[in-house]
Amino acid sequence: MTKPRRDAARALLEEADPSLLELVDNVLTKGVVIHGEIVLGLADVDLIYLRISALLCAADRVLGPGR
Amino acid sequence: MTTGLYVFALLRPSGGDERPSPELTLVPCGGIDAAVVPVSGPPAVDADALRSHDAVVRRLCESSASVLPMRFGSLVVDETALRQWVESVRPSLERGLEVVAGREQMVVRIYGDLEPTVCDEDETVPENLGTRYLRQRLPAMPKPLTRTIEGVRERLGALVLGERVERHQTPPLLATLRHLVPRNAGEAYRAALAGNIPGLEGGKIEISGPWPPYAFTPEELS
Repeated sequence: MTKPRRDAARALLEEADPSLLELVDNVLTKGVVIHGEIVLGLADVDLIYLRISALLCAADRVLGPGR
Repeated sequence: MTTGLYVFALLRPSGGDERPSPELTLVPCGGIDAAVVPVSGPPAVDADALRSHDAVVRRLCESSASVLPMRFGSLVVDETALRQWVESVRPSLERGLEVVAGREQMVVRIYGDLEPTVCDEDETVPENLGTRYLRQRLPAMPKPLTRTIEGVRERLGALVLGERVERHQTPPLLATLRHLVPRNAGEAYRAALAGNIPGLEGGKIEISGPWPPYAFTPEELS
């Protein structure tokens, strides 16, 4: 996997608003997988999958100021 | 130059001639259609590409009552390879298309103040000896969280035709429930969950959807 693609994956997560994170959680971590035929770099998917839970629950977004 | 086929979804043929978009091709695979476009390489992982993938899957859901979404980035070499793969997993695909027929997905995320669990517990993972060993060493699900999940289920009642539960170790996000519901039941779903749900003090839930049934594809193909 090339460095530009890894950077693109990180940028996607860092810039994502809540609706995009929901989209990522569905489209990139769910759905039918064709084992052995996936060409997408696995490191991109692993990076996004590992970080998405943390991003979805950003406390200031979820619970508001003062928490 | 075309180097492969990008696969958006597998679906039951609708019998109509109209395609969701002119670029999309429906490859017949013996009672199952595969929605594909020719591509010159794997897609970039960016917001536009993800939104495009979801948009195409949603359009396919408008034309077919039974759609199994593919995960983003699914490429095959050509139609021959695609048909060979479909045949190799046909029983799972047939079962999966039955499960999602006339249905869509809603998502509930549960947030609150609880001690985090030791590790993520994904109840969609088939249990084997190793998983069972780890689960026995985990603390039980916190009772307030259990009460909230049960409260959600009680409110939704017969709207829920399938469920996937995912616990998280990233508070305040404690759990995600993904529900398979009848199509067009999104408003009823949200209405059923309006108001306080017993269990978590100071907690909240967030609802998203409807989605195509991404989380309800056959487990052995996920």
